[in-house]
Parts: sequence; structure tokens; C-alpha cells
Amino acid sequence: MNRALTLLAAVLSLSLAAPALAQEGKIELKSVVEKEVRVVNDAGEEVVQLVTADKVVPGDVVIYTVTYTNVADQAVDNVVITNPINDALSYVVDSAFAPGADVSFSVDGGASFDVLDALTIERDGTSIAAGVDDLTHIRWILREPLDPGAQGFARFRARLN
Amino acid sequence: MTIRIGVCATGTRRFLALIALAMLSAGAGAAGTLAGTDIANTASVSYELDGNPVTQDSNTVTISVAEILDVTVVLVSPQQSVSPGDTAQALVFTVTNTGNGQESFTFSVDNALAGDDFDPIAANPNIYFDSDASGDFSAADTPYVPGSGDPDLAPDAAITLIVVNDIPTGLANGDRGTSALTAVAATGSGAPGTLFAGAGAGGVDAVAGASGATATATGEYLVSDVALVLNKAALVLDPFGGDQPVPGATIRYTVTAEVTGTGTAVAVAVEDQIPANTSYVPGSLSLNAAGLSDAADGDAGVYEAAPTPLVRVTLGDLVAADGVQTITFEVLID
Repeated sequence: MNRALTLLAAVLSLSLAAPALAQEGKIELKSVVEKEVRVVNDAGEEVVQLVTADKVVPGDVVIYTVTYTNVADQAVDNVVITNPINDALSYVVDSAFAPGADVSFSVDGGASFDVLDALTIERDGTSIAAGVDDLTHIRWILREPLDPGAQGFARFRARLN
Repeated sequence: MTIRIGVCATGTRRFLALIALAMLSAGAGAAGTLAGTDIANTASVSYELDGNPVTQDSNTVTISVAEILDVTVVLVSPQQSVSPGDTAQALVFTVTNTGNGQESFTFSVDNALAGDDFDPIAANPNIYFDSDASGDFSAADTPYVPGSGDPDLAPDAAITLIVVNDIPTGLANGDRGTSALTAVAATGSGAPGTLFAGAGAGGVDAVAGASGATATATGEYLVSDVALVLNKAALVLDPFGGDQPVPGATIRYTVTAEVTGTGTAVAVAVEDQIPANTSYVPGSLSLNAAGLSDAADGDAGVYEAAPTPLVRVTLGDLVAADGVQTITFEVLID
């Protein structure tokens, strides 16, 4: 009896720990956040490992990875993936990565996008180049339609302010 | 300090060094994102299926910001010149919570440090809060009580603490004694990265930061017989080529200042009032034979016509090796 209860409790906690399911649709979209840690391996070399970002402190670098899979039975066109960049995070320059996609950024809450170097913000009445702290969203546009069953990922790094 | 000297005053006086205090201000927001902040992230995708636009969201991933435990301790006081047997000699420190969470800190003093000539004797109590925000030790300051009185500091907040020691007797001139203040985060301290699970502000995990969640600064006492010797001489030149103090005669004053003994005379300024029934001769002020302008500007000298006519020359910190400082100025007998 006690064992059965324990097992039930274990099943319950497992289901609670599982991430919220992605919304139903023709593209399965999944977001993961990890943290970079520097560890010394058996050969005495310092290597960077990705671990679950359960605890982060200011200065830590986290990596957001969005994976996408076409679960429909036909190709989908004009695939655009957008990810917000929280105020507490600073985008790490040149860290955006997504094979087969073009990356752009927004400084106005996602209303408009451009490449990082072309973005400006208004400060004290003058227009200045946008910095990594000014970015509100990152966007990837897939260059080709996504075939049935095809998958890919988009990734960027950010530092906790 | 300012030494006021009267007309034709001559003499030697022992003087006290004053503590010049700088107010420190912590940089705003330096500690970073507050402990306990949750950062949620949801990606979205848009696409076209048979020409119809579709938008979907991903799952939401959330990271929780842990508390980073960091602290700095900065000595504010300059080296303190003391005499053997002095009591209640204060050292002023600023402690800043450089972590990202509300944190209590405990404090301790170590007087048994190596590398000095004597150990200061801790007063009882020996740590005070600068309750009146005066930046120095004063009657209104309240003692720190370890444990029950540990101050709770917000991220980036700073507090001024005063360490009070007595100076032993029987010391030689030039002896140095040091006293160190250490602050430790109440949650815990250890090598950077040490985890204190669930122990941080609001129950989040806490991690020792680069400081190891503890910091120390050391202040110094110097047994010093530093003294400032002032002399003043007057030379009268009358309009007739003689030395009679008649109306129209000029009096040239020469004031010399010299530091003797060991230690530093801090922020020395010499101030001399223009005698009654005489008028300052504009542009006559000089220091070590170099002319000084009368205006309050970049140079060391100034003439003030009001409220009391006087000349003032700021000599700054002086040690015996600086030698004799010679100030001259002239007045005209009305």
C-alpha cells in the first residue's frame, strides 16, 4: 500500500516536472533554455558544457534553443520564428544561429525588424546605434519552405544583467 | 585644518590631524537582476499553409534568478596619526552589498595582524554604525551588536561602519598598528560558486559570488609626534626710506610653516587676518617666492576682503621632508 502511494507520488511529480506541451499545430515548436558552465575535463582542459538553467545569477550566459518540426503532411511556406529578449537579458553579439535562416532584431517590441547594425534608438532626442540591451526580439526567417517531417533549430545566447 | 595666527604671533603648537572623509556612492544597478526574478520565454512561429497565415506559440521556459552573495569593504579613513595611550581612535569603513538580493551581514574586527609594530586594543564595543551620517565617530553613533544587530542591506546599498580602538602605551614614534574589518554575508560564505540551496532572499538558491561573500579592509594607525611650527616676522618700510610704522608705510609679513616629527600633517592651511588700520596690498601674496593671485582660483592662495580681511594659503598634506614653507604678503598702514 505504502509502495503504491509512493509510486503514484513519483508519477505525479514527473508529470508536474514535464514542460508545458507546445500548442497544437502544423509546426511543433519547442523552447529550451540552458546555461553554459566551464568545467575541467579528465584531460585537464577547460571545456564549456550546457546544463539545465535552473539557477542563474547576474553575469551567467544562457542559451535559448527553439526547435521546429513540420508535423503536417504538406510543406509550409514563409516560416518565421520570433523569440522575445527579456529586459533582464543582454543579447550576446553574433550568437544568433539558425541553419537556413536569416536573422534580424527588433528594438520596438517586435513591430519592426532589421539587422543589428542598422537598428537605431532615440536617446535624449538623438538617434544612436542600438546596443544589445536595447533589443526586444530576435527573429529568424527560413529561406526555403519547410517540407513535411523536416526540422531545424534556432539558437541565441544572452547574458543575465 | 586651518591654523589661525595673530599679528606677530610666534610660536610652536602641537596640532591635531583631522580626518578628511570622502562620501562614497554606490553605482546604481551594479548588482544586476534581483534575486527571485523569474524570466519566462515563449517563442512563436508564423507560417503559411495553403496560403493561410498561422501563428503558434511554443512552450514557456522559465529561469529563476538565484541570489549571488557579494560584498565589498572599503577603508575610508586615511592613516590615523595617534599618540601612545590614546583612546577611542576611529577608522571608518564603507560596506556595500554588491549582490543581487536583500542580505544581512555580520562584522568582526581583527587587530592581531602580522606585518605591523603593535596591535591596537579593541574598545568595548568596538564597531559602531555611523548613525548620524557624520562620516566620523561621534556621540550619536550606536554600537553594532553581532547577531541581533546585523544590518539588512538591499542590493547596492551601503552602510558606514566605524571601528574604534585604543592605542597601547609604551610605543615608539613611527610604530604602525593595523586593524581589519571583515564583513560576511549572513546566508553563508565560501569559495566562489558555493551553493546555499534555498537559503537566499525569498527562499531562492544563493551562490557565493566572486568575493566569496566576504570582504575585508585594513586601516592603519601611526604613532606620530608630528607638529607644525609657525613663525611670523614683520618688516616695515616707510615712505621716507626708513623703518617707521607711519601712515603710508608698508609692512611686509613673512610667515613660515614647517612640519616636524613623524607622520603627515593633513590638509594644512595657513590663515592670517589683515591687521586693523592697514590695507592688504593687492597682488602681494606669495608662497615660496612664487606669486599667488588674490582670487579664489586654482592656486593655493586667496585674499578675502569680507567679512574679515584675511589671506589664506592652502598647503595641503605636509611631512617633515617638505621643508619650510614661506608665505609673504604686504599691508599698507592707513
